[in-house]
Amino acid sequence: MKIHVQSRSGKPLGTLTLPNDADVPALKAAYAKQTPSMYVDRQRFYLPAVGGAKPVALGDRATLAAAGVADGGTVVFKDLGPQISWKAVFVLEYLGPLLIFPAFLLGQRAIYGRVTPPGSVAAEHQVALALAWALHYAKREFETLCVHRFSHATMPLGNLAKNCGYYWGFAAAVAYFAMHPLYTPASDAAYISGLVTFYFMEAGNMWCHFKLRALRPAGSTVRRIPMGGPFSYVSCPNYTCEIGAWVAFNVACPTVWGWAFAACGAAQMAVWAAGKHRNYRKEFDGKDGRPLYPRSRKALIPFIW
Amino acid sequence: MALTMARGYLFVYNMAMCLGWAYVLGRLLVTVANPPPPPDPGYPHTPVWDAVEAPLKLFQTGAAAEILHAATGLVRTPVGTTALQVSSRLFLLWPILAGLPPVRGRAAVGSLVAAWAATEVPRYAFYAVGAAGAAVPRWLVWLRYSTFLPLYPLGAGSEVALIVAALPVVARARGAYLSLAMPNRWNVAFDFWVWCAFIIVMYVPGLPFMYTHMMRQRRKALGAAPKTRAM
Repeated sequence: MKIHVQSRSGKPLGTLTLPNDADVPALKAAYAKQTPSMYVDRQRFYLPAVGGAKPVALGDRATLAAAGVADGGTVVFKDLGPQISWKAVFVLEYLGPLLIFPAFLLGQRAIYGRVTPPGSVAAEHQVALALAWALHYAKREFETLCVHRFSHATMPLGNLAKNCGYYWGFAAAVAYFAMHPLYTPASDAAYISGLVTFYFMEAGNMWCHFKLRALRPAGSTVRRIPMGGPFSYVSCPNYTCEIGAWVAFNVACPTVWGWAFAACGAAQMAVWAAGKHRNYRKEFDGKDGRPLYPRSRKALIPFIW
Repeated sequence: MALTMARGYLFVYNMAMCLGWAYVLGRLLVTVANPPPPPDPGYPHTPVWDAVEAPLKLFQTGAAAEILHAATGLVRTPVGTTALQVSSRLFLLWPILAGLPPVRGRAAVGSLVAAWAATEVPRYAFYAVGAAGAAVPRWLVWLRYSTFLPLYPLGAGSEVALIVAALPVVARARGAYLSLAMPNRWNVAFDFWVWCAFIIVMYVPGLPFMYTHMMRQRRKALGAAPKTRAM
């Protein structure tokens, strides 16, 4: 079958010859062969807009015939721009905080012109807090490289600056005050309870990530209901633990910027949790042999929300 | 019912703001036309500020409601842009002008108030007519989307001039005026002088961004300029 490709403005971009049973990935591969700069991850195809309706994107799972593209039909091409792998983005965005916090501690004299009095409570706290922060991001790097499976291969390169800006910027803001020679430490009770809770939540978060990985065998798209442990109470206990860890960190290390970072993260994770919870309930509705998602399970906060 | 109430509220709000800014503009013009005699030496000469202070504080602070209107979906304007514009003005009004008396005598105060008021009168009038459900006259649409062309650079220039004028005043009171130093139990510091310097730097990308945003809105509202045939 012959498929005509045009830009969103209607400019012809070429004609592709494909097998009659070709699917969207085959279309993308053929277009990448014709236009090498437009590699597969950079492409998105749409059906031409009819009237004032929005153009319909062609999903990767559909065959062209099923999507309504006949022999001699036309598809609209959109360039998604330069892409970067999700894994690379995560590695880079977490590398900043991993290095920034210890850098502020080790470079006190260069940054502030003085150091926290050696042997003081503040100095002891700062070492433990810098270690806790660094371990959190070391854990994230490990999970990115060895645990997480990404449903999308790439994201737009422009997102790299945004994501790195968020993590690196907050890391610098929190570290500047947390590692300051004039840092005022938390009380012993707040410091100890905060750090203990932080590590407990980190362990919980990691357990959840391993549990989620085990739910989906490599290379498959099968979806199951997560069960056991904190999953009995909430749909996204990994987010619950993450938020809990940052709240605990800020109890042990009280800074305005730290609380701001925790609040921004919690707000974003609440949005994600609500979406995932909604999808779970919609997908596992108990009909046509599908399991029923536990009705008592909440999105993020056990028994509440 | 709710829709009618919302439109009624928006009409009253925009009409009040339009009249308020017209009053500010009137006070400014009267003061410029008949300037009061300068006071005794040693006393600050701030005729424009003295004339417009009360209504300016009231109606410019009242603009903060626009952020709520955008956030609650009462009006279809982006929250970010609205918040940026209103907060930048409130920054000029309260910590700079209201908080630093030596800055009030600058000539830029007059050009600032003129730019603000002359922009706001047609803008709020435009919104009020729209909220009333009436057809907005073509001349008012043109005014709404054209006054910014000369007034936006004038206003922004005046704002920068006043923040620059504030820098030495803040420097003399460094650490005492709207600033917080370490150590403190919140482990945070804030230096108002640094903040002022940062704001000045932000005008460099900010002004072209906002100006092009307004130009796009103008093109959308007024349509493409009529093509003239070559003779």
